[in-house]
Amino acid sequence: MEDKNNDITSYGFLFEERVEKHFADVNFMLLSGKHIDEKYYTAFSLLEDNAEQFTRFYKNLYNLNLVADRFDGRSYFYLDFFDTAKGKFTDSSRHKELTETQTLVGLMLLDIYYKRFFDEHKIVRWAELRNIILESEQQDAYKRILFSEVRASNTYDAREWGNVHKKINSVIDLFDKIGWVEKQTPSEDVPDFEIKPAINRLAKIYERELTDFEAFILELKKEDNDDIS
Amino acid sequence: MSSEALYNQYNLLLPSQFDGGYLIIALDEKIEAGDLDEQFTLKEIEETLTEISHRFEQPSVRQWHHIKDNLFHYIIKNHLDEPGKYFLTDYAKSLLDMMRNKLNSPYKNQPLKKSFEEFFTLRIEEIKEIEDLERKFGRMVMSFPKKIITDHLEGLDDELREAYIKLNELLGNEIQEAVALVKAFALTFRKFGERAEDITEVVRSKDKFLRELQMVVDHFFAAIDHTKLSTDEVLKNKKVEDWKRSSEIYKDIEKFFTVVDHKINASRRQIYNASEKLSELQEYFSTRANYRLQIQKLLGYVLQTAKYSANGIVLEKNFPLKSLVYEQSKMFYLKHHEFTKQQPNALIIIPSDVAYEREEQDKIEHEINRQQTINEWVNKVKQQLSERKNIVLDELMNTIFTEEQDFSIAYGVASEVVALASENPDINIEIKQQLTATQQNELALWKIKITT
Repeated sequence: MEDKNNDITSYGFLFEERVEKHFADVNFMLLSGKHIDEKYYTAFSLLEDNAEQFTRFYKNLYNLNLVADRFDGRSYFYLDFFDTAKGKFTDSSRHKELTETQTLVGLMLLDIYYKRFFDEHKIVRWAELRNIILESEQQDAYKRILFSEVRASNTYDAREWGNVHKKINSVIDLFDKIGWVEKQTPSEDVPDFEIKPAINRLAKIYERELTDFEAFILELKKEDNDDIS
Repeated sequence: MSSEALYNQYNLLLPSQFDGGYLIIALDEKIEAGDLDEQFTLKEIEETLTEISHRFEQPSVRQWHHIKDNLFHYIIKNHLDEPGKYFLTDYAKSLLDMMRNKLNSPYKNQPLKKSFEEFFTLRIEEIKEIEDLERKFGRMVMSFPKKIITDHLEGLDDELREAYIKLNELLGNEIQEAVALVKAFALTFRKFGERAEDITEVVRSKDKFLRELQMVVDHFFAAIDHTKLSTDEVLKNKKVEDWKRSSEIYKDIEKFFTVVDHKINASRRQIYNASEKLSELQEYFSTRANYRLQIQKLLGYVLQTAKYSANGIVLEKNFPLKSLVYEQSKMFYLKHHEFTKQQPNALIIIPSDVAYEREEQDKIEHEINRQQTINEWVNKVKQQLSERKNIVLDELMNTIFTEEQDFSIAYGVASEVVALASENPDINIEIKQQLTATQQNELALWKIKITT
């Protein structure tokens, strides 16, 4: 038992053949924000088999929390900050604040994920997103913030659509990189992609706001008023 | 018909909603209900068009003269004997039948197992001759049952997909009464359960059928053995032929079953997945539905408060944006690289292999000696010929072989002497077609005599 504990604190596991072979990949993936699920089998099983050791490693050396999360019956690992600080990643080149567009598209995809609960693979095609923008209950808001103008006739030209594609594509690219979605075969405008269970991470980082939504809004309004006064 | 024609005439074959598509549905429904004769008038067509435009809230009524030319191609015809009367073509009717069948598959409520057993039941005692087997399960005969099973599987697939969509829709409802919702789920789900059972039984009867068919094939194979001792070649060939034909049938059906397996597995997966989801949902249905509601609220709030900008949306100033661990990888690609002074390559001197050298030298020497000996012998023969002596080739070769103990020398001399004879017109060569073996029996020669 003592040996095992020693092993956890002494990073001896790093010298195991399998860890030595794949550590660089796994470390790189985790530090670049990847949510590693079973799809990345080698990395996933390495983390799963050495979960305690890796957790200790990232806590002590990076002050980061290696989270083994589970959503919708699927597991995945990712690195997170401990509540109080941003770990040793305080340098802005070492963490990334989600932009406003990324936050919006993320919430949009999260909503689609919940809506398609019964589909085993939640593959999203551009036509579906386009429909949400043009036909959903919130169409006015979508049109206003994506095209800057609400046209009931939906007569947006190729250039206007091109801008929207560009904005959404760059978000999909990032989400693909961090493992929230997985791009499928490319298509002409926006590639088809699958929304992965790891998208729930977004819900998790907004957990406080979601748990008591009304209080959150009140707080926002108050801050706003304070700023004005 | 070439596929090009299909593209060109698509609109004539399958008119779109308001260009006659809805019109033929409505006319057919009226005829079925007895409100319209099989042959109808222009006035009745126009009335139907008006009804369609009202029913589907069209801004204007589609005019008959705009669409009639297209419809006259395949869909509606003029009555030859009664001008002013029209009727729907058989093509139009079969088109409607096909669509109705797709939406309301006749197999939907019939268990797959029933269709399956109807066609794939084998009574071994009924199969005496190969013809019996072919009559029941030959490729041509089976094409119809195969189509039925395929249609049935497709119907099943449609049904599952519809149930899936329904499940997802139910989830979208903001019904607060969880009890009612779960009840609705259970109803939709019952279909999956029944289907799963049905499929399991089909797989079982399919396996049984294949086993029995294999037994029949084995039986034909055994018959070949039984005729092994027979002298009747025709009978023997027939038995082999019978076995081949039965194997063909087996292969054909086995191949079809592989496809069936594939489709069945896909349906099973769907059922399995839905069942898993359902049990999960029952467990924490309310929490989850609540959670989704909260997410929708947050999304709604973001949508309402965000503003447009050319580079992306802008949120309220105080809206909390969140961070992820994200270290950009830095990979440097160096365009120019100054190499340090290169070390000269060390020269490795390989020592000579004396044994090999000697071996090769011996080989060369031996070859030279051989050529020399051949030359000496050829000169000797020339000498003899100039002394007007006759040379008998096999004797010459034997002599050389006895002296030199090297057949290649004897052969070399013989070749040169023969070549000499053909070059020099003074030398005659006389060949008798009589084989004489040389001493070591590796070569036999015609009796060749060379004279001058």
